[in-house]
Amino acid sequence: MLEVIHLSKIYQDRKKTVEAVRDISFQIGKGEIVGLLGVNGAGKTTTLRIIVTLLKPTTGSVFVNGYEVTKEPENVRKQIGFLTASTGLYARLTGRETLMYFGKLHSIPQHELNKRIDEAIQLFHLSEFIDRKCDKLSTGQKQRINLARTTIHQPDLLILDEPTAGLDVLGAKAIVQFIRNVKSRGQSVLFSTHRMEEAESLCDRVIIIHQGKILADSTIKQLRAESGIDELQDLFLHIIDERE
Amino acid sequence: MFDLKKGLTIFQKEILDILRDKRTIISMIVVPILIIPILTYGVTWFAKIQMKKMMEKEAVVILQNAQNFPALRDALQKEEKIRIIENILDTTAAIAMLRDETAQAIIIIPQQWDSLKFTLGQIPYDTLQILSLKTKEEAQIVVNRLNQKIEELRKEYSKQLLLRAGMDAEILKPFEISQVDVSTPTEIGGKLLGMMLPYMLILLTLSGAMYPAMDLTAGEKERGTMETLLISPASRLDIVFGKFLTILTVSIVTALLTIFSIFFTSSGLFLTISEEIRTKLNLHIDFTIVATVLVLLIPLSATFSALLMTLSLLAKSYKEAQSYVSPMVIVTIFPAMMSMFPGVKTNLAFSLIPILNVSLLVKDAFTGTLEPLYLITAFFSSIVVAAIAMRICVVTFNKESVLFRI
Repeated sequence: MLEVIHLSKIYQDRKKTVEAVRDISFQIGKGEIVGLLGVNGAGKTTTLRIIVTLLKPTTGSVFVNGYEVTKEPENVRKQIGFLTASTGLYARLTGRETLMYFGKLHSIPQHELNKRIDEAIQLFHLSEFIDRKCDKLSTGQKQRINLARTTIHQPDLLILDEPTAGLDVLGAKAIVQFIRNVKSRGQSVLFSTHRMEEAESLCDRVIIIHQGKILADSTIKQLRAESGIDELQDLFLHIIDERE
Repeated sequence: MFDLKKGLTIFQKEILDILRDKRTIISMIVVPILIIPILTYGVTWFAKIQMKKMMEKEAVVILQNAQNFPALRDALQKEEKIRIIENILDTTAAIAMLRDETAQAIIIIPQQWDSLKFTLGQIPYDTLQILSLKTKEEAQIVVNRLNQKIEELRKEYSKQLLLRAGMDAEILKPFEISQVDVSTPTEIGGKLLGMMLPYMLILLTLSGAMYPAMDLTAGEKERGTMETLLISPASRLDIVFGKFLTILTVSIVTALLTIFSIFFTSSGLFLTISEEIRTKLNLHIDFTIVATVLVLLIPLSATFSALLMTLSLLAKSYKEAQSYVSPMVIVTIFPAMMSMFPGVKTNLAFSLIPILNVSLLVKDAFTGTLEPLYLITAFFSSIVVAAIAMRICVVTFNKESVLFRI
């Protein structure tokens, strides 16, 4: 499903050079939910942006369903759905128009697209506001439209960058529920977070990233067993201290 | 890989999106259709009212030493809406009255002025002084009237002096001069439109492209929707194509609507001018002019659209984009104004220079002096410039440092 091989990313400008990601490798299998954990500036967003083809790797490669991100970026984008906390919606389009637009860009035939929009309305409870312009929607309603937009093309892999950041309890709960549903449909999820409890409740596996390097790639259960630390925050800090 | 279908999907969405924006509707439709006639008629109406007020207002003229030149006093007294004051003999005090607008002009007749000399057939060889403030428009209208009156008196005296010397007054005009303008009314109208329209056309094409260029690039970045689009299967080229086509369309529509609005507004104003001037002037736009304007407008608009899009892409926010694109107006104004400069004519070198070629050739189309060779060179040079601008835009759009401003 997803293979990240010796991936590095260096940002360079006239003033400074920043090594955001340093030779990382990991894999995600079909139906797997993996959490990418790290503090701010650890390299989570850069890694995810390379996977979704927004950024180009400096070295290394990434394959999504066999497509390489730099060689076949359009095909890679067909396989993935991407959502971040800052992802915006077109204020002057309605929810239906938004879904229609992205469905067309994914080359979904019209009759199939209508069917999928109807399904999304049911799944994300959009019927009340689907024909209202997005700037008239509440944060929670926008988030539901965004989730429908992310999945309208039924991607095999969902990449979610801090999806619950800035959301209230209800909003965060909706995202957690969404990730659980995704797993039941056999889709894979890679999501970044710095909330340990969120990772524990959802992930089959966690990847801890710090200063661009992977420090751990395992289940939380195994990490607990190896360190003997039960409390999640302490466990996380222990791994950073020990393996840095 | 370019996919026309995806490019057109983006174009359709952008057009729908931008047409729902009040700012676009205002700048693209409301401004050209309504504001131009409202402003033009409004300004003309206001100017007329002001002029009428000034003409109706009584003017005060201080006449010093009036007793020396009774004929002038009599002539001015007969004038309507002119009141003469004779008792202010101190010039400083009189000038103060000009400043506080209690008087509009001072006529100083010299102390030694002797009107009797005229009657004796002698020439006084002296100077009448008219004092006024050039900065006051009202005063200048009064001065013009005074000049006219004094000139009539002077002519009358010249005539009498010549008669006394036994000569015919006609000696002052040994022959007549007759100037005949052989320009047709269409040529005169064409010259008028050809001076103004190229400048308007170029600036409006630029301003029409400005708002959508900023909104569709920096605006999208600011609102967080650019990322969503970039992770769709549309290629960077599809996205550039869709957005570029939208900016181009809005720019052309704005320019055309404005030109038609200017044309109809001036035609309306034209009907209010006197019959005599109207027979000498024909505001005429024919197929050749429309075709020339379109042939030049499309590549010009494409160049502006691509350049504005590239500049706006470099910005993180709409506000930042505004500061990047505004210097383009200054860069554009000078070549756009060339059609107004006397003596500047189209040649091969000028026909290759972007903006300047449009300015001069549109003028040529209106004046009926269009050279097909220059039109062809201008068209192809504009196409090359537009293609370069578009290439720069695509390269910029592929730079992650620009899209994400890392």
